This record gives sequence, C-alpha cells and structure tokens, in this order.
Amino acid sequence: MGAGLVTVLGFLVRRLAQAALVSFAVVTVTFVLLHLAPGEPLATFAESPYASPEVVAQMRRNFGLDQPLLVQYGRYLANITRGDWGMSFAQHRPVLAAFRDTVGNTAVLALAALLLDFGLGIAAGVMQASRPRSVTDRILSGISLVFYSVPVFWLGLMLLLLLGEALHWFPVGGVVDPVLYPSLSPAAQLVDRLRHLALPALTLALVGAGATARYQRAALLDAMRQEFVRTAKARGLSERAVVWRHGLRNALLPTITLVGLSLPALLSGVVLVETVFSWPGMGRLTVSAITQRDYPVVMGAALLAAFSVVLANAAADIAYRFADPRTREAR
Amino acid sequence: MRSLSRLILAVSVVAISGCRDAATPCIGTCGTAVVVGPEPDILFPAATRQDAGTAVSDLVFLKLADMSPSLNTAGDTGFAPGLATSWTRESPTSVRFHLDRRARWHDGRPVTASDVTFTFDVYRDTLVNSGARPLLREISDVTAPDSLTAVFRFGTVYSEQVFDAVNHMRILPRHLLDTIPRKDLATHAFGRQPVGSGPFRFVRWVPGQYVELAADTGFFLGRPGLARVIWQVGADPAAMITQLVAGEADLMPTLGVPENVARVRQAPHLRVIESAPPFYNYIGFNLREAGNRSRPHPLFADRDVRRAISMAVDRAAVVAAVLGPEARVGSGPLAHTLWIYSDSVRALPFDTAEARRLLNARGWTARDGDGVLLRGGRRLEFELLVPVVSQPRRRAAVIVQEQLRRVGIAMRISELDFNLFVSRGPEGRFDAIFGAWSQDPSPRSIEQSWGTAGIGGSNWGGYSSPAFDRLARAAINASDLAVARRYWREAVAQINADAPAIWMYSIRPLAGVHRRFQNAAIRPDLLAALLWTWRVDPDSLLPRDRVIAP
Amino acid sequence: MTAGAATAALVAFAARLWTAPRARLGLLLVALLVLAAAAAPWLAPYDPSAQLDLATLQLAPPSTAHPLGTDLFSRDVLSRLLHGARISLSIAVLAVLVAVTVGTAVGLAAGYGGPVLDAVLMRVVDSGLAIPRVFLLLMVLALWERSTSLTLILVLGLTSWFPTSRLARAEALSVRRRDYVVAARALGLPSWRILLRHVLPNIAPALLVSAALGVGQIVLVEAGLSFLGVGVQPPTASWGNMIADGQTHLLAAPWLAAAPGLALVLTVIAFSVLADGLQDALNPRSS
Repeated sequence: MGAGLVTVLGFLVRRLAQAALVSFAVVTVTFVLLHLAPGEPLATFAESPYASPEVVAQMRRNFGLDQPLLVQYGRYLANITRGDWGMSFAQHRPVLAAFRDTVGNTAVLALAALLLDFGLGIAAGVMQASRPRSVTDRILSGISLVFYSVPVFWLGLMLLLLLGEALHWFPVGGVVDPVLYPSLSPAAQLVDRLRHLALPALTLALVGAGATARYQRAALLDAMRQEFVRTAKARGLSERAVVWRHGLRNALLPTITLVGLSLPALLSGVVLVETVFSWPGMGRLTVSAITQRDYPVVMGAALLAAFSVVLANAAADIAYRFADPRTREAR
Repeated sequence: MRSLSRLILAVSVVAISGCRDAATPCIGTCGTAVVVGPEPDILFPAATRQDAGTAVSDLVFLKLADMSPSLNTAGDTGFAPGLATSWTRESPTSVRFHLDRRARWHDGRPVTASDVTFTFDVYRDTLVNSGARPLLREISDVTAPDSLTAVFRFGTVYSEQVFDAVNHMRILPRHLLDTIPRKDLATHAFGRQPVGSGPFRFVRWVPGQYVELAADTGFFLGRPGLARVIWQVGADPAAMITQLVAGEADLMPTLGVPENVARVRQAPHLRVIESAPPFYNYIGFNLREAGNRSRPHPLFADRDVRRAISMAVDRAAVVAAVLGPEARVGSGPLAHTLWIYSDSVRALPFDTAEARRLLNARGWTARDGDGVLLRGGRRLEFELLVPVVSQPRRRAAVIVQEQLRRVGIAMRISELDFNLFVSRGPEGRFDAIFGAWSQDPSPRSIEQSWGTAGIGGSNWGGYSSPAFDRLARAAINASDLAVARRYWREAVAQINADAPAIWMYSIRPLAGVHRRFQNAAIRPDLLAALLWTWRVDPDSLLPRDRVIAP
Repeated sequence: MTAGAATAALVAFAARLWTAPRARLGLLLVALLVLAAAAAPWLAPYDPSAQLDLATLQLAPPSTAHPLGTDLFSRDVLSRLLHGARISLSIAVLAVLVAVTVGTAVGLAAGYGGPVLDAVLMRVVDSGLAIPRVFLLLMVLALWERSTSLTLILVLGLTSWFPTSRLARAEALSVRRRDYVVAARALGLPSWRILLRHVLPNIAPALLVSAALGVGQIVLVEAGLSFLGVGVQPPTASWGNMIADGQTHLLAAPWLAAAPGLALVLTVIAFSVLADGLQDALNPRSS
C-alpha cells in the first residue's frame, strides 16, 4: 500500500511538473512573438491615445526595454507570475481586472456548452454503437458529420435568426435582462439566466457534439470488441446490458481525456459565439481589444486560455489515472 | 464653438425651457430610460475620450454652467447656471464665479471652490492626459478666495472666456481624489464608481452589460423626471437597433443608416427625433506625407490629382444608396443648414472623362495587371481611414472604392476603432481620412478646420491657401451680413477648386426614442444635458418603469 | 520496411483508395469543388466587386438574373460565392501545405534527432496545442498588422502544424531502431537521406489524411477570422466576410448569410468524407 501511494504521488508530481513546463513554454512563446513583431514592442502601445508619454516611459522602465533581451525575458516571466499582466489602455485598468469581470461569463458558457456537448454526443454515440450500420446509425452519422462541419458562428446566426428574431423564443443577446433582473425573484432570475444562456451554449454544444459523437461511437465499438465484453456476452447478457454495463464504462474513460482535448476548440468557438450573441466574456473582450489595438489584453487572453487548457488536461489525465481500472489493478 | 462630430451621440433639438424648474414633480416611481450605446471606457470625466463615457459622466457630474438652448458660446451671458449660480466679470481677463451653496456631492459633502481649483489642476495635468487639456490653455489659473467663489484668470482677451471656463470641465470631488497620485488617477477605481454632484448618482456598472444610475432626488436644481437611467451596452449598431425595436431599449442616440430610421418609423411604439446638429462628412486628403509633415504627400500634394479623384466619385449615387433622402450631397466644407450656404456654390462635378484626362495629363498613363494606373512604376493607390463605428461611412467607403477602381485608382479601406481614428487625424498619420465635422452655428469653424492657422489643430490635411485665408478672414471681419456672405461664397469656391477633400454629404442625425417619454428632446451638443428632464407618461408605464430605484 | 516495400505499400494504398466507396465519393466532391473554384472567373456571371446598380439592385432577392440575389452594394452574390471559393480554398490548401511541411520537418527532427531536441521541440508543440487556435491567431494577427493573403496563409499554416508533428515524430521514433536504419547509419548515409527514403513513404498516407482534414478545418478557421474582420479584407470576397456582411440584414435578406454558410458546410463535409475515405484505404479493416 505504501508503495502504491508513492507511485501515485510520483505520478501527480510528474504530471503537474509537466503542466508547469508547458505553461512556461507558452509564456516564452508569447514573449518571442511579441519581440518578433515588427516595430518596437511598445510602439503599438504608445500609439494608443490613452497612453501619455509619461505612462509609456513608465511601461518602458517596467518592462526593462532598455535592457538586454534576457533581462527583459526574466522581468516578463516575473511579472506574469506575480499577476502583473500589464495595463489595458482601452479600459484604463490592469488587464487582470478586466478579465475578472469577463472570465466568469465565459466559464459559465463553456461549462454549459461542455455539459450539453457531452450529453448529446455520448447519447448519440451510444445509440449508434448499440446498432452499428443500422438506419439510425447512418442517420446519426450524417447529422454529426453536418454539425461537425458547420461554422460555429454561422450556426449561431441561424439559431439567432430562427429562435431569437423570428420566433422570439429566446432573447437576442446579453447575459440577463438588464432592467428587470435585479427585481426578479431568485427562481425567476435563474430562468432569465438560463434563457439567455440557451442559444449560445446550444450553438457551441451542437458543433462539439458532432465530434464527440463520432469519437464516442468509435471508442464504444472498439470497447465492444474487447475480451471482457465477449466474455460477458458468452455469459448470456443481453446486447443492451453489455453495451451499458461493460462497454460504456470502459468507453467513457477516454471521454475524460476528450474533455481536455476538446477544450481548445471549445474556447476558439467561444470567441466567435460571444461575438454573435453579445455575450460579455473573454472572447468578445479579445475581439474588441484587437480593434482598439489593446495588445496587453489580447496577449493576456491567449495566456489565460492556454493556462486553462493546460490545467484541464492535467486534471483530465489525473482523473483518468484514477478511474481506469486497468491501471488500478496493475498495482 | 465647433466640436468634433459625435458619431454615436448625435444630439439635437430645442430644450423646453420650463423644464429646468421641473414644474411637475414626480411622485413615487417615475420611470426608467434605457439608453443603448457602446460601453463607456471610464467614468472619470478628465480621462474619458469617448462619447459614451462622456454621456454617462455628464449625468453624474455637473459643470459650473451649461449652454443655453441657443448654444451661444460667445460673451458672458447666455449660459444656464450649474454649480455656479452667477458670475461677474472683474476685468477683461478675469471672471468670478459664485457657487450655489445648495450643491452637494452624492456622498453628502458640499461642493466648494476648492473642488473647482482641484479640478482645473487635474484637467491640466499631463499625467492625467485629459483630452480637454488643449481647450483650457487660455486659462492661466483658477483661485478660490473663499469656499463659494472661484476666480478664473485668462491669458488673453477673447469673447469665449466664460465658455472655456464652464464648458470643458466637469467638477471633481477633491475630498475623494486628492490623495491619489496623479499618475494613477486616470486608471483609479473611482472611474468605475464615480461620485459626482449631478442629477443622477451612480449605482452599479456591470462590465459588458450596463451602467445603472439612479436619480438624486435631492438634486439642488430640481428633482429629475426619471427615477433611473440605464446605459445598456450594445455590441454594435445591429444589436442596438434590434434592442430598440424589440422594446428592450428606449433610446438609440444615433440611428445611422436609413433602414434603421425606416424601422423606427414603422414601429408603433417608437418615434424619430432629431438628435444632433447637422454635420458634414468628407474624404480629406493629406497634403503632407503621412507621419511626416515636413514633406509633401507623394500623391496628394498635386492639386490636379486631388481634383481628378474628386471628379471620379459619384457622390449622388453614394448618398442615394447609403443614406436615403435624409442627407444632402456635400457642396463644400459646410452643412446645408449653415446660413451662408447657397446653391450657387458647387463642388466639383462627377465627370469620369475629365478625371481620366487630368490623370493622364499628370503622367498617370500606364496601367498594371489589375487595371491600376501607374506613373514611373508607382501605383496610384492610397489608404482611407474610416471609423468602425459609423455604418454609413463604412458603406459609403465601399462604394467610393468601387467607383475609383473603375477609373484605375486603388483605394484601400482601413476600418479603425474610433479612438485610434481620432488620434491619427490630428497627427497627420493617414493618406486619406473619412472625417466628419459637426456644423457650428458660426461659419468661423470653416477657418478653424481649413485655414492655415488650423494646421496642427483641426486642419488635419495641412491645406494651406493664402487666397482662402484672406477671403475667410475678410468674411469673419465683415460687419455687414451681405458682405460676409459674399466673401464666404468666394472662400468656399476657392477651397472647392483646390479640392483638399471630397465633400461627401451633410446630414441631420436622428435618434429613435420610445413614445412614452414626455419632454423627450436632445440638446444638440450633449446627450445628457436634457435627459434629466424627461418624464414617463403616467398612463403608459412599462414594467421597468415601476421598478423602485435603489 | 525497406524502400521497395514502402513503394509497394503506396501502390496498394492507391489501389484501395480507388475502390473504397467513401474515398471515391470524397474525391469526387472535392474535385467538383476545386474545379468550381478554379473556374470561378469563367463560371461567375459577373465581376465579384462590380456594384451593378446601386439605385435598384440593392439586396435583391434571388432571381433568374441573380440566382443568389445581390448584396447591399448590388454585387452578385453567386459571383462572390464562386470567387470566395477560390480565395478560401487556395488559402486553405496552401496553408495546409505549409503546416504539413513544417510539421513533418519538426516531427522528424524531434523523433530522430535525440532526446534533448525531442524534449525542446515537443514542449513547443505542447504549448502550441495548448493555446486555443483562435486566440493564437488573433494574437499573431494583432501583432503583425498588415493582413494580406500571404500573411494569412503563413499565419494559418504556422499555427496548424502541431498535430502533424506528433504523427511524424511517432513514426521517426519507431523507425530509428530498425535494423536497416542502423545499417544505413553505420554506412555513413546522411540522416536526411534516411528519413526521406524510409520514413516519409511510411507516413505519407497518414499525412494525406491529416492534410485532407486540415483543409476542412482551416477553411472554417479562415472563415471565422474573416467574419471577425481580421482575415480576408473586403472588398475581396471570402465566405467568412460575406457572412459578416449578411449579419446586418439577417431578417431582410437571409440568403446573404445562408449561401456562404451552406457553401462552407458542403466544403468541410466534402473534405471530411475524403479524409474518411483515405482513412479507410489506409486501414482496410472496416469501421
């Protein structure tokens, strides 16, 4: 048992160290990009009408731009770790403060989308795998192919047009009703939030579910061919029971990893969906920062997104490790 | 005083005078006005550089005095009392303001003259870098002999001294701000939780969504007619008009394109009101090299090239396609409502044959693979800056681009964030810029924007013509209106011949507002100026009007 | 597998490709698309930027003269769609070429070049995969302001090579230890020769699958960037910026946004089917 604990701890440490290493690499990549870009790094900041010469000079000193490259790199690393991600010139406040207001909204959207995505995707995948090559299978395959191929922003626009503007079933933008929300009862507030969340989350979920269903179907069919499934069938269990009890449980394991793997695509989609639905999250903030030449915000957003992905992948790997019966039994 | 066009907050119409004393006080809940616009950058008056920020700040903060309905800027009278009840001229270079002893900050403390001196200090501080700083340069200092008196002293004698003293600064609370280091003032949390002395007090700002203000029921100039104002953030004009038509918003200050105006006219619960003084839009050429004033522009220093490009643009087609009947084709650096306007002065005609002939004559004869004219291996191409936030200008630019392409001119369109756009202009960092000037009641602004003295100020393109300067000066100095009119006509004819810009169109901006508001009027220069006198018809209350203000 | 055996495998692969039904369908669809895109200047009834008649033809609904209607500037939507196909497809194909080239090179170097190089390169790949694509692209496009087609191709390609490098690396690692490779090295053959003759033929089919999928994905990414305004700049028609233009008139003229969107869906489906077909040919075991 003691040996088991040591190996588990060892795995944890290694996995987290790997995450830290990748994070370090991400920060380095952004630093390199910033310095590869044409012109002096702060030239574009200085262009902003909000930056007075004194403020720009202060930033120059902070970033040590008069110092050799290595010193600059060190300062940059130190700043990022300390939580000083620079100043948003368009909003007159630190980048992290601007993120604090928007991260929550993006997190809510991403979470809702993930839940819907995996709910729909796994259900579809199971349905397909339990009747391979049937009509249901072919139809669902076709549907998931279509949703996998749809541009997420276009799907959002079509849903907005149909369900929002034409049928008025859902509001056309925002997180809550700005005027009525504070005076609603808690239950009504929840309903209001859900109504505003529905379309953007559904858009992201449908596109993601297309990929999830394909993956889940393949994983499940694979699992069905495994030894233990055949043993179960030999024991006389019905097809259904086999799928549900043995195949699914084992096929769900890779799904944990899929959560981590699908996060980058999800976050990419979030940028577009937030723009279409005026959802005040990190994505919309980044897009407006681009037009405003507010580079600290753009870079900070990329960093934050990357850190989330790294964290999610590490969490998924650790969860997988604990959930996989094979690894457990091998100890 | 001419001011930069507000694309988002255009405003207009006469104030209904009796509103000042808020004759019919509101009893109980009085209504909520939801204004839809872009998100404010910050609610610190000295730092905000954007119309949305100014509009919301103006509801929370108060000036010493405000403009009267006539929008007069000259002289000592003709201003409505604000934080100052009266002012007296002590000498040709100093004015004494008497503050209203009833004025209070929203936290209860009285407004005193030391707030005024502090405010002046902040506005002039380079670390704060206020956009209004250049406008205050004629004021040499502000002193406070006692707690209710502020004395402004000026460097020179000129007729707009009182205007400069009262109109640019929103008074800030010294007791809340003077301990903050100046370099942090513009980014301090105060800008997101402001405390002012105006008719509305700040309640909350949910970033990306809305800013909520509640009426200050004890406002010393009279109780506001509305209980709440909510400034709702609209991501873009399409989202804004959707919200307005759906009834989720009450006021959209600038409707922009004609289909929005049409939608508002068709909606039974909305109506169209004039929201701003007319302004004229133009495509200005930079006669100096972009970013380097000492050298002439390789293309546009040539008068004939400018004339040719002007003649290649069919402005009537652009106006008809983009703006509809609300706009007029431009005929000079002025709007059609200006009193000196006359049909007899015309801009260059649409004549592609003549345009081609002129370009050929100037050496642009060869063509490259794309059909673009060449001279000495150099393509006839340039970049036009357009602000993202103006839908009409963006569309007009696309049409102009195609019209120029047919003649062999390649124009690139760069759509810029508005703040970037207005910083490039004065710095001369552009080839051509699609600008707009709000039309002042006085034609003096033409000289400011296009005369030699305006270079470094409002004359972004660097146009300098001694003939034009002479004629404009003569017009300004003329005592007889008929003589002035004649000189102005000649001055405009001169500038049209030199074609430093293509005069695209002039338009009276329109706003869409919900019908249930009474006194729904917008003062030409400032959206917020009259908003506090709006009231909701008690027979048409909506659910949001009944919400108790916090 | 020796070089000879590798070539034989390639031939077998090509034969399977032709007989597999999905592959044939995919090839057909893609060929149709490419043909339509390449022939756009001749197929399109009008010049895509020509504003035909601002007075009467703004936002005209579909008709015989304009099968997909006209947009706000009285430009024929069908012509813009065809030219947009050309732009979007050529950007995607060229970007995929860049991505596959860079990815293969990096992957082979990592797998073949020793543990240190491997560790460094793979951390770069990990970090590239960690930053969500749109954020990475927005960051790069923001820092390099000018957005020409060339920058777009380079930027899209240079942000899409990470999965390919993993593929190439895996193959290079396994090949490294094989007998004939050890022999070749002992003989003094240069590494690049070995990689070229032994590794590349083995991974070529997998690269093809990856490339086919990649084209579909990059078409979507480019459309998204153009939709946001940082991809292909107007007036050049790209399916993405056509959808953005159509957004303002969603209720009044839904065909403006619907047509390019459908075109995108069909394109991605075509390349996905092709990729699936290539995958079938690669692994004859039925799915």
